[in-house]
Amino acid sequence: MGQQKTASHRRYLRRVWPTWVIYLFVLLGSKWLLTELELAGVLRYLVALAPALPLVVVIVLVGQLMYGKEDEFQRALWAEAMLWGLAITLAATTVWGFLEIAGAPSIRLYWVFPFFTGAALICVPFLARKYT
Amino acid sequence: MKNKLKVLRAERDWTQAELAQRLQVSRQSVNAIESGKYDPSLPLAFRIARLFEEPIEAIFQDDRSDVDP
Repeated sequence: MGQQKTASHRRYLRRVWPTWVIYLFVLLGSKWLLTELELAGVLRYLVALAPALPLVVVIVLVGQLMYGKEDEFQRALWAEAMLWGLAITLAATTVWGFLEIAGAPSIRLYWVFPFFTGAALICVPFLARKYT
Repeated sequence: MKNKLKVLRAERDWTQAELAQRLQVSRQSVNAIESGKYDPSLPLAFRIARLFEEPIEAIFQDDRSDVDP
């Protein structure tokens, strides 16, 4: 969109990219451990849980970005995009939940966050066009 | 909400980018406010009023008259 990056946005990018890299490695490591080793009990749960932690950090970083945005219009725009993303995600997951009763393939809950992120990001250029 | 930000900016021969820099907001913000598609917060409206040395009500006009004084 050619938007000028503010200090808070640059700080966010400096933090979010390493977090995504960590997530990728933890995800691959977790998957390998769960398939190759006979883990059981609490340890199995902890290894399965590990990839979620970097994603929770990403959610916190997005929250910090929203609060730290110096530009109130940009903050309002992104907040509205997230609301639309939330509405799309709630509608899609509710519809899919009922379709699963009819035999549609079951989707893992960890897809909700990337779906929401994608839905919110798709809304940003539409809202930017609406307001400018 | 109507406003005369564009007129005030033109009087000073500022571009949207220059005004944005003076207000410490993005150019998109200035564009959205000028076109009346985004109403600024009260703190930003005060910053705009201070910059142009005019009272807020001289810059922003409420186009709704459904609230009794």
